[in-house]
Amino acid sequence: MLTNKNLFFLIIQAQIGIGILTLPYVLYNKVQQDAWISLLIAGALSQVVIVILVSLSKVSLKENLYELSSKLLGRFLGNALNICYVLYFITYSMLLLFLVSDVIITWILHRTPQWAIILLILLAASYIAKEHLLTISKSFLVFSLLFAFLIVTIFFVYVQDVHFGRLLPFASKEPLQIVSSSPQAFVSLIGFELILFIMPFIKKPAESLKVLSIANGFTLSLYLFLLITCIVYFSADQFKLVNEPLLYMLRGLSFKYIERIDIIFLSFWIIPITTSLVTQLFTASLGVQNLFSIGRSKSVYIIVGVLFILGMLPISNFIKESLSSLMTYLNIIFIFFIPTLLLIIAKLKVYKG
Amino acid sequence: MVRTKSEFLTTDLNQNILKITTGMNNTADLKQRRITFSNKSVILLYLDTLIDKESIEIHIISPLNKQISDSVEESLSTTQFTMLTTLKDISIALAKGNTILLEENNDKAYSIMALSREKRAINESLNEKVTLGAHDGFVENASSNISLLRKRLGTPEFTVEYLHAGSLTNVEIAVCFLDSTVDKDTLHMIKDRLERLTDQEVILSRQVQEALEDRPFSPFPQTLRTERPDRAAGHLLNGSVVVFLDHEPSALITPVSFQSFLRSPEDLNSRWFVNLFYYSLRMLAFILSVTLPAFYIAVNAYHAAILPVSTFYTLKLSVLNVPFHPLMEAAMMQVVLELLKEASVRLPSAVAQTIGTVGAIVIGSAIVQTNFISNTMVVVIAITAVSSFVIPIGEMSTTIRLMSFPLIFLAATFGFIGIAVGLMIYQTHLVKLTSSGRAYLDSPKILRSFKNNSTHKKKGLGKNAHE
Repeated sequence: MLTNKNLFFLIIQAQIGIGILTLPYVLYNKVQQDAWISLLIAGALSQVVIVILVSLSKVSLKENLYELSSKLLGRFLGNALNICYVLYFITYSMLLLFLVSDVIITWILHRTPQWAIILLILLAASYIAKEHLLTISKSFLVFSLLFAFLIVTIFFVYVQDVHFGRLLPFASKEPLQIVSSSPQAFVSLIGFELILFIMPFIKKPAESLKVLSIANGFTLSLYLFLLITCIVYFSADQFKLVNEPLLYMLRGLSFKYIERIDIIFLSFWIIPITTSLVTQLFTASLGVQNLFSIGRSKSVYIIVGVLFILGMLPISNFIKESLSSLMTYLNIIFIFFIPTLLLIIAKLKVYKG
Repeated sequence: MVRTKSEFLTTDLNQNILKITTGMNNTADLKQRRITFSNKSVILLYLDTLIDKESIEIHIISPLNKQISDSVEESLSTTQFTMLTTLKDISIALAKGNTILLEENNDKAYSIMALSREKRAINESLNEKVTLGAHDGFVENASSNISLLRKRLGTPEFTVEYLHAGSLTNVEIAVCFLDSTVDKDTLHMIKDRLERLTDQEVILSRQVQEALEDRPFSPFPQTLRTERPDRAAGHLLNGSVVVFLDHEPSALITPVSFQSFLRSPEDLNSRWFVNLFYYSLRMLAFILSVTLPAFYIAVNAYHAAILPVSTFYTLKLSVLNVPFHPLMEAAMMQVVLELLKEASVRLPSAVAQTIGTVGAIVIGSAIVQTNFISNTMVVVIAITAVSSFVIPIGEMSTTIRLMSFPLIFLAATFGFIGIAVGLMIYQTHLVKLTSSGRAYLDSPKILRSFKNNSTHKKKGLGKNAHE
């Protein structure tokens, strides 16, 4: 049974991952110094989504979404939806693997084949994902120490030349423009959809909304901190060139005994990225278990096998990019629209019955 | 088992003796002694190799000769004895070192304890030495070991339960616990697991350990094997169970946490900041011995860029003339180190010093001069080895040293990323492990462990200091 603390670390590790590397670049190039307002709007949006997700999973505390969907939509439609969810999680994991291996090849292991990196990450993720949820959350707790290291390191940036004036003028962009770029930020905040699948494991379901909100608040403030640091550190011209602002910022740091913090940081940032993958694998394996009635660890291995085969395929950058932009919409559909729809159906059923 | 009539003793003395000797396969060390007691023949049967002749003389023969009363039972009243009627029980009693007394016209036999008390004196344990604290260690006898614990814990709550394992070894397993502190479910589970051992021929502690462990295939020991009574007593106070196997000079403690493998009883006997310092030192030693060679290889082979220029040149100069990949260097050096260690363990201590000299001078400096292995690699491997020897429990020390090998391979293939992934897997494995159902590495309670130790100190060791 998961305590509130376990749940908190599960959610923040599911949320924080690869998004942190590119988020400032994407947001800044849309709305410049008002990027942080977009992020705040995305945070508010995710809070709304959290409320919806929690109330949907509270419809039946003993069932996860896969079981609930067949109950609400009937056997056929429910199973169809479950297959869609599993495919969504697999696609999401695939995209995650491509993005992370690309970053690693660009920054650190220039000549390592992509499949080797994918295999390494998949092995680690499958080892964790096949465990019981409590074990997963306990390891996530230990991995969260990395966030403390990150935050401390980022403070050293402020010793160098930062210009707080770069945050001004305040809210000068069109409000519509600011709002329309917030879905980009929302994508990097997701991860809390996990609650739909782990409600039966939680000790105090009544407090889950509170815990999720705190977790979301933590992630949001970490992102805000990083985003604002990036804005005050880079000039507008620099921002157009740096794909991964966080890494470039760390690269600029130099200490007496150590250089190139970016390499160390990115190598160990593999851990929060893998934890996001672990949560995807966990939810997908629950679905496979539900659909084909096989053991969960076996379903993890099946999914990992599928992902590895997909990872071996020669996929061009164009496909990756279109997949990436498609994913933004898929995320919103699967995390926002479908749960909302299901919640309405559930409420109607209660109202009728 | 169905008992046939022939298995019982009869009133015919000679026939009984014949049956018993054939039952014992006419073994040559089965001796008989005939004495007369109130005009009746009495036969003493014993295994010459097991019993203590002096004690037979004092406790059996001289009371019988004095003839205090007419019955054997009353004459023997000072020593403990049991009545046996079947031949099977008699042969088992003989094999365990009891003396059998047969009387004329009596179909009952008396089995009297007269085991020779040959055992090692209580010495300091060689594997877990301390400078501060008690210097007694467990010996190869379960009851002396239990008495060492009983002396420390003078309470009626200290409970012992015995089990016997193996039809051929017939060895005693003792389960000790404090009734008030032990968790009843855990105790039940431990006893259940030990029950399963009763059909096995148990000789070694490892067999008991394997039965007690939740995951015997994990590289990490989940039961603590100690030779120190103070450590065992401390764990008893904290609610663990201590298991002794007769003829093994160690106690198995379960459930244990990972952290207790990094602690020495000496820590708790020291001032708090000394305690904290040594605990932190061992934590550092643990981290170093698992990750240091891997880090060095990753830096050397992939990430030399993280070093400032001056350090970079120092490193590169030292590896300049070495023909091997850092991975090869590390593997070679680790193997040499393990060979030296193994050789010095097997040799008598006088010769073992030679191995030290060979290791230090011949291999240490010559291998660098011939450019087979770089200076820095020798330093790295030496630090790793010393760090692993700091861990107080030998089993854990070896495990930790070997755990660095997979990381070395990962570091050589993927650099820091390999190390990160490897550590992630190790961490999850440690979190997954349980020791008798209790979490092995309960990460959220790491901070609370210091608090536990302070209460532990008050309860156990601290009290003695005030008296």
